[in-house]
Amino acid sequence: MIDRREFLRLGMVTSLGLLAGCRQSTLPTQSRTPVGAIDPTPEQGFEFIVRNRRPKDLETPVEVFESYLTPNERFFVRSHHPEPKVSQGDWRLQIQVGGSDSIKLNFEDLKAFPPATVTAVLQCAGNSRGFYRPPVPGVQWGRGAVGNARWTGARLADVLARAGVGESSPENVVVSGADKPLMATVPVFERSLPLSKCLHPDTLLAYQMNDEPLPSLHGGPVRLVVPGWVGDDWIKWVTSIRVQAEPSDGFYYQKGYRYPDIEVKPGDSVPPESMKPMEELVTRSLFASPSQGARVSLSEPLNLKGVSWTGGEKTIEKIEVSDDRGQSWKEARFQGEAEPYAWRQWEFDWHPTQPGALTLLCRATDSSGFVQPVEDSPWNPGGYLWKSADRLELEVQS
Amino acid sequence: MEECRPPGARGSVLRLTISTLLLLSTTIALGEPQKWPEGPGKSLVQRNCLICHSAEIIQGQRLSRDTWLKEVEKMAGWGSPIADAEREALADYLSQHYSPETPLAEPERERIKF
Repeated sequence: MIDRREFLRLGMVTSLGLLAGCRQSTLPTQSRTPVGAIDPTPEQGFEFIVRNRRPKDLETPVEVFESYLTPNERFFVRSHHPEPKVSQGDWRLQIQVGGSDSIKLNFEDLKAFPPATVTAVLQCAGNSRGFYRPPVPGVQWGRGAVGNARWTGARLADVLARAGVGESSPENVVVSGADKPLMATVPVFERSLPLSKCLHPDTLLAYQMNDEPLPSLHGGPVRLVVPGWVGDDWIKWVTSIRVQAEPSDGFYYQKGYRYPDIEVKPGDSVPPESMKPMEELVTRSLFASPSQGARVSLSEPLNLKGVSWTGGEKTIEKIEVSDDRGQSWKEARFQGEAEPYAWRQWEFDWHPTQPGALTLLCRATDSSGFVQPVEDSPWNPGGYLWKSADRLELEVQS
Repeated sequence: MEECRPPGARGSVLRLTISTLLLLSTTIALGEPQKWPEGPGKSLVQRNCLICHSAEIIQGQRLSRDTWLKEVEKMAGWGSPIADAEREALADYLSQHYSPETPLAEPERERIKF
């Protein structure tokens, strides 16, 4: 017999040995912690909403979005499998085109390509899944599985050209990373992207985030950056690219991360052929300040702040705020200049007119003419692509 | 888990791996801040779910019994060692404590150091 302490010791030793041998997150709401109180001691790390501890699914509190660029150490984290530790020195990328011999690149090879920088929004496809009713399985994200960062790296098109890939190559690019499931029976995470997106000059193999080496939790040393597209294509810890005639036959492309192209009611069985891979981000807007549930004074005007972003090559054209449940809207002011793929910050001076509980709404209009609806987003089995107007609950005090 | 497997020993190594992972999950789970409601399904969660997940992702969900059962079956298909005869009991436990009618507390924040 072994006692509990010995059991724990043996277990930890065995577990760590195993990991070493294998190389290897009612409605979600935001906390009411005021902005100034969240990071007095950065050496102790920064506050996240922990949706899953192991592997890490960490949500960014929305007040962080008062910053145009989301700091690396506060940027949300989504993991499918445990974080692999891959140094720049150990990193290798294998590229295979059709049935030909593969080529291998190391980190210095990648750095030798002309660098490119793109400021872009990265958002988990399931951001705000927790708002769907009835609830949908998966990480119950609130608002913060999104961020805006400056990504620097080699153009994927340049790297693929080194392997002989061009416009006439096979049309499916299957990308996977160094993260491995704990059990061989669990599907690996890999995605298929169309060749055309991979040859787009803004699609990067990024090794810097906000001008710093890409942190491991964000996929360092090298991750895929696919501006304007949903986060599931932004593969972390990229180690393998296969250019081939057929798309990935893996779970995370054939079944996971798919959205119905037909109207679906909760409980409906959706024909597999109606479930399509997601590509472009949907248009969204969020209040960043004040925080949810804030108590505000009736006698003082309030400066509301927020962000808004869209997908593909679209742009945000207008932000509006409503204090009467969407019956009337007033336009907010943009802050700063528009950058392709990045979010836009905005502000709005609001004057409370009566005391009591109140819900403010904000909505964006994009360059395609789409206007965020006040109603809940269309229910779907994966809980993806929430795109409704954001809601800010306030308590106005006289 | 390609890197851990000696040639020609997939089955035995896989079993060893699962038993070691069970130890891993119990060990890590005991070190994680969490509370599980008492009940016949508590040990089923600890033995079968915490291998790959921490408590938050389970306790943060509010699903119907049918949906919980589908999740259990999906995970069994992916290698969770839960026995066929235990799946209904696990779905009972999860839906008893984490149903759409169960209140959901405001999520805690926690400092994470990268």
